[in-house]
Formats: sequence, structure tokens, C-alpha cells
Amino acid sequence: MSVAKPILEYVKDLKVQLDLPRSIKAFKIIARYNKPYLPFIGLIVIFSAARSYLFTLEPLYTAEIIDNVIVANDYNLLVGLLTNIFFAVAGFGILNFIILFLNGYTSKKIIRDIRTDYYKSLQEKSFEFHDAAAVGDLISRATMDLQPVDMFLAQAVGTVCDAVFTAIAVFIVMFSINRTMSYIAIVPIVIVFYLNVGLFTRTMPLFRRMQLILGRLGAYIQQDIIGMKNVRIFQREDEMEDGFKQVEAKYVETAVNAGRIQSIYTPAAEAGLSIGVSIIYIYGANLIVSPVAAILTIGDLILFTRYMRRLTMPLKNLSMMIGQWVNASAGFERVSDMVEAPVVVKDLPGAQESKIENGEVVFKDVDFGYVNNVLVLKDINMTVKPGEKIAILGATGSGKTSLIYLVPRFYDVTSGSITIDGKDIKSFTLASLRKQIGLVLQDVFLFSGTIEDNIAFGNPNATLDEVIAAAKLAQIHDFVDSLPEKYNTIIGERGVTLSGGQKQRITIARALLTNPKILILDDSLSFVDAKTENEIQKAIDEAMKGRTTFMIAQRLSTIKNADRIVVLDNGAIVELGSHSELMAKNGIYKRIYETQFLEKAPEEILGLKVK
Amino acid sequence: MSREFGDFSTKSEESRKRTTSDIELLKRVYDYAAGFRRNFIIGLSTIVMTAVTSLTIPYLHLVVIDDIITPANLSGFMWWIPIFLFVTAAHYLVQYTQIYQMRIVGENVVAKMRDQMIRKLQQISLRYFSEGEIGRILSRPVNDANVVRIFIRQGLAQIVLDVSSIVGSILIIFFINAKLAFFAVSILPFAVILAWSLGKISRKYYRRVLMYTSGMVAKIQENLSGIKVIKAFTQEERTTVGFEETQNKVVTTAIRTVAISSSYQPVLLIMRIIGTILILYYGAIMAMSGEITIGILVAFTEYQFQYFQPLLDLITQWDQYQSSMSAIERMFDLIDTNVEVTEPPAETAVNIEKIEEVKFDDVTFGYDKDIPVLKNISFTLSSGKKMAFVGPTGAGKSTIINLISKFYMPLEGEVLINGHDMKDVTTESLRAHMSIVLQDSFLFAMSVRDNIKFGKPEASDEDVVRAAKSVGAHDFIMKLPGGYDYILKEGSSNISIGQRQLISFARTLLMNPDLLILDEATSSIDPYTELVIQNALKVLLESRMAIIIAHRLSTIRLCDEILVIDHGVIVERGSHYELMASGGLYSSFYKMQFKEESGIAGEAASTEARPTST
Repeated sequence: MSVAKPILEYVKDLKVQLDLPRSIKAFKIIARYNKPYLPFIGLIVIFSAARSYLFTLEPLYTAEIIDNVIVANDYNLLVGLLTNIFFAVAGFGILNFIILFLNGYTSKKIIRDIRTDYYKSLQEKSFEFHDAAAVGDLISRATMDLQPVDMFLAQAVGTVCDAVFTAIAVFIVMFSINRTMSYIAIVPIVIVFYLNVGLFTRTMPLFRRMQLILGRLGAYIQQDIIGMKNVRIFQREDEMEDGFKQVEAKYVETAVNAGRIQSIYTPAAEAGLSIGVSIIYIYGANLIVSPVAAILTIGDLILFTRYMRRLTMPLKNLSMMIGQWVNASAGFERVSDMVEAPVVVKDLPGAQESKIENGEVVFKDVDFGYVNNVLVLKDINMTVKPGEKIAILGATGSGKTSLIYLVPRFYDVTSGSITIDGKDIKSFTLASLRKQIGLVLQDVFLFSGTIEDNIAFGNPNATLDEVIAAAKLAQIHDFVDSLPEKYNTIIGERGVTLSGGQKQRITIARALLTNPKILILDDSLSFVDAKTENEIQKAIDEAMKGRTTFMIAQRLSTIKNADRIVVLDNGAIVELGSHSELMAKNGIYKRIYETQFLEKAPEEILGLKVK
Repeated sequence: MSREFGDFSTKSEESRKRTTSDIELLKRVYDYAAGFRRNFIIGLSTIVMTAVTSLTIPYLHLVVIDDIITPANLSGFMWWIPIFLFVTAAHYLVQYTQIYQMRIVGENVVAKMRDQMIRKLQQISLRYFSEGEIGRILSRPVNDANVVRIFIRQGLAQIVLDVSSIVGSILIIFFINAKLAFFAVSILPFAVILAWSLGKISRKYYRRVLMYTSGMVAKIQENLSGIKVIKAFTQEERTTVGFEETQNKVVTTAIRTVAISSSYQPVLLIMRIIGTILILYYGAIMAMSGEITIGILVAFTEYQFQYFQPLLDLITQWDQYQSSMSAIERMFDLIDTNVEVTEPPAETAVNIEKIEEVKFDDVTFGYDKDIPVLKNISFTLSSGKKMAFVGPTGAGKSTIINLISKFYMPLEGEVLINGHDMKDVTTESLRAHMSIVLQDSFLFAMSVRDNIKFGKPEASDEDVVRAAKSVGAHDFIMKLPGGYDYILKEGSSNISIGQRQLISFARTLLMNPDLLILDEATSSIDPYTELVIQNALKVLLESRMAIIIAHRLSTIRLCDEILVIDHGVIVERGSHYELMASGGLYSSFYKMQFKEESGIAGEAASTEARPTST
């Protein structure tokens, strides 16, 4: 039950509903996206009017055949009328094709525009946003949530025009034939339309709900499968199964619910129409048979019933559109919520493209916290001289990564300031600041593509020789050179699988190729063996001579070779100095250093109280 | 009937040939309707009745024209209206029943199949869960089940309804007037062929759209996963262009598909209108000569809608039918998969009360029968002792753990628990007394508390806190928003690797197993966290039997015996000092690692550095 708990919570609150003010807002934004395609939409409107006109012709000619050919017993008109029917229907079909195509064309383009804006907005978002967001969720917004919007847009204009124009055209013909009978005909048509609106506005959201629950069911099974060893070892198989059944029950319940609504409304709409048509038959029969005057012909009667039947179709589509809108607006809202989410770190007004000359980095009274004023870094003061190599040591959560991420402004300081060569980093444009800072992230990430593409990621114009030089510095050249395709080797799912250490070395080459003024290494050699790490360090020292380097490392052998070491504890600098200075100090660094090799009781070193 | 689920993992799903006939599959699906047989029979018969009632209505209109209007006999409505109302009411009722009953059957049948698949997933061999297979397995209870669900509640009903409608209306028009009926249906073969081939083309394009769409999704996924790299290297513009290119491919193909599927419309409409024109032409001539009445002519044009549209629907249904049959077969494949490790029969079953001894007696094992991963392994671990396995990646260390956990059975030799053959030991009693801490320490997307309680749901909150405190996890948990109620994300991406490990330690400690199996993480952690973890490990291992795949020297040294495994064979065994003294593989491997930790070498005592064995 416990694994299913969060999902059941989610399902419990899961209601797809029409929220009028928000829906209007969504409509306005979507309408704005339609603007560039107004000519197409205009064409759809014009063609729709023509289509509705042609739509009325077939029943009209059929009625004429009955009255003027069969009843009048006059063969001469038959072939002409049939030819007319053929061209009317063929014309109708062709216009229908054009409208469907234009509508589909504009909807695909509009969805493309929406998705592109969405994608661009995600790229603009700061690290805070991406720390909190799940990639899977962001993707489902770009796909699953845009799907109902696509379905809505693909038909909306055409359907609305079809319903309106066809209703107008049909009523004009009807009223020209018989007023009273037209009024009688309108009643069932309106009732059927009303029933269909009820049907679709009630079922469409349920279908959407089912789709969303199904997505959660999939996620649940995925966890079950990935965590299967744990499930079996802890003997939670039955629980996993029960949890699944509980979520599934919600799914089945929703599906049956939708079925019940359909089973009530669908036949009711059919019966309503059928009764309406029969009333017309009865009333019409009276008029035809009426001895007063031949007010109505058989052809007219057939025409009326035909129109009633046919008119329900565009109206049914219209009611489906209305139901579809509930889903479309809910889906679009999830996309626009993201687009409108604030960008926290951005260029300040007056920011300039500045050059880093020396690479002196000064932290002055820096406080930093992600959320709710919980400070991750407190009162950081430190001056890093140009060309210095600074190592940062501290426990998980002590703020190491936060500290170095402040320099390229992945996050902005909460208070205090950071300056480079005396200039506040906020006076740089983000692009110019980051271009001059090389970064190797803890989380090794390579893009699908060739090794060369990946090394040249930050500097796409680099020549192969430059790529090779960077690879040599990162000690990965020999390996790449041993591959049959060398730098053209594809990596990733469809290519060569690299070890963690090889990936890390490529990310180092990638950073070095940008020829940075400041280099930041975030725990970037953890998978590389000690010997290689040493060699890479030497190469980096050589390449970064005279430039500033920040690094988080795991091996004390690497840390101790830094010019100065910052020891962080709970967000504050507790020690700062070279290896020998800190060893002499007899503080926390010395204790860590010794235990790493001499295995003292850890609780003693950390000052933890362990029972 | 039992099948090896893995059989088709080598072939692509698309190209796979079906091996079971449709009838057989449908029969088995029907078996799932056991509890819903009444609903099913009622549903199916009301579908047929729906077709009948809807075919009656045009006939009633024919009657109005020919028997009431033409002879100017309005009193005919006296009997016509009650009949009409009856038919309409009946139509409403059968349609209502049909939709609702079929929905109940469809949803419940598929739910039952899905439940069986989930049940099976908990039982089948772990070999099916290798990384590349997850999507394939997942698609069965999710996508395949959905295809079948839609098929049963919509497709099946639609097929029955369409067929009854086509057969019924054609029979009726032939009954009314065979000659005119002949002209009316003469266009059908051409319409069927056209619809069929157009459908084929648009299906092809539709598949292409799906393919490009998944390419686009992959691109978004990649760029979002690597967003920090993109921002760090200020490559936002370039990657946006890359995304737009893949998206444009989708858009271009989708627009082409719209064009093709919309062209379907006028073509079939023209086919239909030719049919109508044939009816009107010959009908008019026959009506003028008095061969038929006007009512018949009108009825024909109405019946035309009752066979023409359903026929086209059937053609589209055919595709859905085919994919449903494949989906059903795939679902049964999973349901029929052999459970390799079975429970002993009650008479020979041994329930373990306390694990006192684990013994491998000349065990040989391979996941593939022909490729042994372990060869002639023998060892004994007795109560309170700890054993370490050391060796290169792929040497077979994890396989030993899999055998002890009864995830697999040995091909040759015996694994014995307290002297009982593993075959006879009930899985439940075995696993109740042992626990594994895995390298990747998987946690579920639920609260920290529920994760710690995972192996012992009845544990109190105090027990949970105590366990977390013992392994040093309490402090960081309290710092999380919501503390123990903090909900982890899927993949636990909202806490660090070190924190994940500590939570999984607490989870294991709470179970208090007799035997602890530890697959030590290879990735190193910062020295600070490392200390906390080492400390937690000591708590965990205290006075417990343990089997450890060890990477850290500090852990290896805790063990009473070390087995060095290479290529599935035990090459050395003994204590750390014995092995160092013997100067074999262990000592040379160890010394090599140690040498690389240069810089430290001079200062640290020679036995204290830690080898990283991978």
C-alpha cells in the first residue's frame, strides 16, 4: 500500500474540470498563437460557408427527383438532377478535404509554435527550476498535455464553421418550405445537441483522467520492476500487487463511470432524433394528405427528415469540441504554467560583456539559500588570488557544490557579493560570464553524437587538432585513438558504451577546450583510478597555469596538492589554508586526513554521538 | 502451454510472427469473463438487437410513405405510432444495456489480465528485468492492455454491430427488391478496395509520425537531462536549433499525414454518392414504371447508410483487430512465463527459523545454460561469521548473492541453508531472515518513513527513528522538508547517493536479519560521507552473519574469510593477512592499487590504503 500511497493521493485529487477564468485565459493565449495563421483561418471560414451550401443540395435534388421525376412521371429531368447531385457531393468532399487539411496544417504549426516556446522557456529557466522539476514531467507536458490541444485545434475552426453555416443553410431551406414544420424540427435538433454537449463535457474529462491514471500505473510498474530485487528480498510482492490493484480500481471505476454516462446519453440522443423525425413524418403526412391545398409534397417531407438527420452530425462534432476544450485548456494550462514560471537568474539591466583578465575571485559576506530562507552557505568571505587552485572539502550537504555554483551564477547569492577582478559578477552578461568559466559537473552527462561533438560541445568551431589537444590533457586521447572510428565514434545508446572514468575524462576535455579563465571541477574524477587522476591533475595544473581553479575532489591525495583548502561545515568555512598549514592547525582537516588512512573511530572524528 | 518469456526478446516486436490462432486467443480471453458471463451474453445479444431495432426504423418510414401518405390513410398512424414508440423504446433500452454491459465486461476482463501480469512480474526470474528490457515488459500491462481494453469495449462491439448492420440491411433491401438491391451494392467491392489501400498508405505515414515523435521526445529528454551542461557552456541557442530540427521533421510528416488521411474523405464520399446515384437512377425508373413505390426508394437511400459506413468502419477495425490480437498474445506470453524458482511441496518444505549456516557444495551456475558464470564453488559460512568476495567486475560475485537469495537455482551442486537443500527451503522463511543491501540502493517514490519501513511495515515510528539514528541518517532526514514524511521522487533524485545509501541501511537494520548480504558500492563518496557510511556499516554488521562483495579495505578487514573470485572460480581464500602473506593475486592486486595512491604512500601505513577493485 505504501508505494501506492502517493499515487492514490494524486488520483484522489485528480479532477479534470472546466475552470472558467483560467479557461478564458488559456483561450486568449491560444487565440494569440492563431494570429500568424489568420489567412488560413479566413480560408477555412470561406470554404466552410461554401461547403455548407453544397451540403444542402443533395437532399434538395433528391426531393426534386421524387416530386418532379417520379411523382410527375417525367424522365427528362432525372439525369440532369443526378449529375447535379454528383457534382454537389464531389464538391462537398473536395471542400471538406481542403478544410480538414488547412485546419490540420494550422494546428500542427500552432502546436509547433507552442512547443518551441515551451522548450525555449525551459532552457531559460534557472537551476532552481530544474533542480525541482522532473524531466519526465516536463516531457509529458510537451507531449501528453499538448495532445488534447492539438486535437482541439485540428478541428475547432472547421467544426464551429460547419455547425453554424450548416444550421443556417438548412434552416433557410426549411423555413422557405414550411414555417411550422421548421419550428417542430428545431426542437429535437436542439435537444439532441444539448444531450451531446452533456455527454462530451462529462465523458471527455473522464477519458483524460483515465489517461493520467494509466500514466501513473505505468510509473508504478516501472518502480516495481526496477526495484524488484528489493521487493522480493523484503517480501513485499503482495503489497506491490495490492497497491497496483488499488490504483487500477480507480481506473476501472472511472472507465465504467464514463461508460455509464455514455450508455445513458448516446441512446437518448438517438431516440430524441428518431422521435423528432417521426413527429415530422406524422405532421408532414397530415399536410400532404390535407385536402385543403397541396402545401407539402412527399419530396419536401423526405427533405425535412434528411436535413434533421444530417444536421445532427456537425452539431455532434461541435459538442465534442466543447468537451475537448475542457481537456485542451487543462493541458494547455500545464504548459503555460511552466512558460510563465519566473526566471530567477537573468541578465541585469546594464549587464555588459566583460572580460576576465586575472581571475581574482572574491566572496564578500556571501549568504546563500535555495528556499524558505534556509541558508546553505553562511557568511562566506574568501579572496582567491589569480592562478590559485582551491580545493573544497566538506560533508554531503555542507554546501560545497552550492559554493562553486555561485561563481558562474547558476544561482544568485542571497546576500553579499562575488566579484571577479573587482567587478560584481552580476555586472557581466550571463553568457559572457559563463563562456569564460570552464565547468566539469559532478553528474557526468554526454550528449548522443560523436566523441568529437561532445568534446567540442562548448566550442563548436574548434578544429580536430584542438579537440585532440584537449583530449590529451584529459588523458583520454589514447583510448579514443584506439577506437576504430576514433573521434567519430558514436557514443550513447546506439554506440560505444563508455566507463564512468572515460566519460569523466571526456567532460574534462570538453571544459578545457573552451579555454576558460576560471575552471571549476565538481567531483569530476571519482570514477578515474588514482594514477590517472594524478596525471590529469598534473595536466590541468599545466594547462591552467596562472588561471584560477576551484575543485571538489574525493581523494585526499588530490586535495592536499591544492594551493589552499576550504573546509566547509554546515555552510560555513571552518578552516582555510594549505595542506601543511591545516595539518599544523590540528583541526578537523587533520582529523579527516588521518582517519582516511589510519582508521580512527569515525564518530570521534565527526563528533557524532553514536549509541 | 507454458512459455519462455525471454524467447522473443531477441526479435523486434513488430516483426514477430504470431504463433497462436485468433480463436485460441479469443477463447482464453473469454475465460477471463468467467465472473461476468451474464454481462457478456447480455451485452453481445443486445448489440445484435441494437442492429435489429435500428434497421426497423427506416422500414417504419417506408410504411408511412407507402401505407399512410400515398393512400391518404391517416388512421394508419393509430397503429403506427404505438409500434414506432415501442421500437424506439426498445432501441433505447438495448443500446443502453449494450454499452454499459460491454464496458463492465471489457474493463474487468482486462483488469483481471493486468492483475495476473503484475502477479507474474513478482514471480518470474530476475533475468527478464535487465535494463534494456524494462520498456518492453512495461508495455504489456500498460500499452497492450489498453489496446485490448479498447478492443473489447469498442472494437468487439463495433464489429458485431457493423456485421449485423451490414448483413441485416443488405438482406432487407434484397428482400424488398432484389433488382434494385443489386444495383445498390454493385459499387461496394470498389469502395472496399479503395478504402483498404488508402488506409494502408495513411497507416504507413502515421507510423512515420510516431517514429519521428519519439525521436523528438528523445531529443527533449536529452536536452533537459543535460540542461546544466548546456547552460554551463552557454549552448542554449545551438541546442534549440537542434530541437527545432527534430520537431520540424515531425510537423512536416504530420502535415503530410493530414493531407493523406483527409484525401480519404472525398474519395469515399464519391464512392458513396455513386451508390446513391445508382439507387436513385434505377429506383426512379422502376418507381415510374410502378415496379417499386416511393417509400421503397426512400428506404433504399436510408439503408444505404446502414451498410456503407459500417463496411468502411470494419476496414479500419481490421487494423485494430490485428494489433489487438498481437497485444493479447504478448500479454499471455507474460502470463504464461515459467516461474523458474518454485516453492517446495508442503511435505518436504523446510521453514527456516534462524539462518545458522550457508553452504555452497560444488555449485556451478550460468544464466545461460551453456555459459557458466560460476564453476565448482564450495564454501561454508557459519553463524556469526563474515565472508568477503573480492574480484574483478564480471567475476561472478553478484551471482553468488543471487543464488543465496534464491533468485536462481544452481545448475549443478547444492546450495544448503542450515544443511537443507535450497530446493526445500521456503522462499518466505528464507527471505524473512536475510536481507541485502544493494549497491544502487533503490528507494521507492514514497515517504522516507515508508521507505525505511519497507521490509517491516508493522514497525512503529519510534523503531524507524531508532534505526535511522543508529546508521547516522536521522540528522539529515530531519533537515529534509517534512522530515520522515519527505516524499522521494522516482529514482530518488531529490536526495544524494550517500543519503540513499544510509536510508537503505536503516531499512535493512530495521529488519534485523540473521544474514546480511552487502553489495558494496563501487563509486566512492566524499571522505566526510564515507566516514558516516563506514560507521553505519559497522552498526549494521555487528554480530551478524554477513556475505559481502567488498571494495573497501576497511570492510574487507572486518571479514573472517576472503574469497578471491576470478572468471567464476575461487582462486584464493583466507584472511587478509594470510592472503597478503601468500603473495598471490590478492596481494599483488592490492599492492598495485596501493602504489597508485601515491602521495599518500609515504605517510600512510602500508596496510591502510584502500583498493578500488573495479
